[in-house]
Amino acid sequence: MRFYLRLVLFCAAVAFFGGTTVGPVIAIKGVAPDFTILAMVILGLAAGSIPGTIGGFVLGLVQDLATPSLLGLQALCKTFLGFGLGRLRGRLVHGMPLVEATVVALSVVAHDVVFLIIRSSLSEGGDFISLFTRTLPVALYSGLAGILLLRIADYLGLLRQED
Amino acid sequence: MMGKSLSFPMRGELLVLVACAAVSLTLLLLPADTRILVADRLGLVLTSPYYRVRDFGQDVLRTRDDNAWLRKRVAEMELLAATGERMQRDAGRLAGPALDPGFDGDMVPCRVVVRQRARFATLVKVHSLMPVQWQPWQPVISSSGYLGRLREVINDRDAWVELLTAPDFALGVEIERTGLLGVLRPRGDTFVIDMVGRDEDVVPGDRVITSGIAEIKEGDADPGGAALTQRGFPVGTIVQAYAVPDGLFKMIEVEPAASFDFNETVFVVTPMVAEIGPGGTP
Repeated sequence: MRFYLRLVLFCAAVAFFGGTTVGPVIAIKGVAPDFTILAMVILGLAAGSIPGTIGGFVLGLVQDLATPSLLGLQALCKTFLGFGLGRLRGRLVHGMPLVEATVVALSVVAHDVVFLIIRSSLSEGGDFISLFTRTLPVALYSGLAGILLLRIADYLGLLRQED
Repeated sequence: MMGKSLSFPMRGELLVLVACAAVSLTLLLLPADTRILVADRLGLVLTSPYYRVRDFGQDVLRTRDDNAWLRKRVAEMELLAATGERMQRDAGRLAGPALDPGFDGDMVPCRVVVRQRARFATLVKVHSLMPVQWQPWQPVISSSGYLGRLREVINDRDAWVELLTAPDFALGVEIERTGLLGVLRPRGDTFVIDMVGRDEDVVPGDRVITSGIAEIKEGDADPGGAALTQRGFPVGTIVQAYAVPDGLFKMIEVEPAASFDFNETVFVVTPMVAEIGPGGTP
């Protein structure tokens, strides 16, 4: 139980303080890591599908509340992403920075692709240019930041090599 | 890579997935106005306390700088007002103007209470410092320029503002130097002006303002002139303008005047009280 408490607190801190406080400080030309997805990657890889799915849903819903015209869309995208990340648990090579960075970057890209497809079907604007101008830089930056954050999570005992 | 040993049955995992997806889809399929109202109510419980504390901390840090800028602007506006009075006296001796001269309404100062730095953020929530009879589609500006328009009015103090970055936003604009009209739309990280002919005189550095041309608005209730975006609000500056081969219109990119990432105080532009008639029409 204490493990879950530490994990939830860590992920909440990454998602909220990372996104609102650290992100703007370390942003390069407006591009900052997506700390919400970083938190989801840690949660999914550390705890599995069910916590990953619920965590993704909650984080997405909280984000949706600040963009209510598309209420439910972030929650939907992050629900599926959390489920997928949870299914990856135990299937990745432990402690490989390149693998971790790739998982984070692909998560950002996958999330944004689904998000943009659904959003474009709901509104008039087919804004897929964002995929190249925003998503790819954010994915790369998130991948780099993910290496550091996953190392910290590992150090705190949240991610461990399977015995 | 693995956490503490813990396993869930596959059926349970799928059940949770379906439940979360079903709730998300239900919210997403609500009518647009209902979605915003539901989010507003949920936000009061889930996120509002956090935003209030965070925004208060940020506002305190920025207040000193803002005060300095405000003093500067007040001084500038006093000078401009004096200039305007002189121009008015001079114009009194000539024929009346052919065009709408621009802003002649009231500005309602509002605090931004819910703002999000996100890649796809398109709405902010504002709280008026005084009760106001505002209506959807009224323009919202910051001290730098045009920001967006009222999307959903919650009560006489709270409302949601749709930012110019929203993907289906379109705004009638005018290139100030030449008087050319066009339609500004967001495209990716930039803004473009459509409907300007390929041979028109447009150069980088030209200032873009709102044109005051009537806009197409969704919904049954037409707010009439009370929600018209007036002419003259600064929108941005042209950074690139070129003719596309085989294209009828010029490709014009605009750097917005207002910042959409951080706004502490914004102004909702309402018509002068005397101008509003029954039903919100002037």
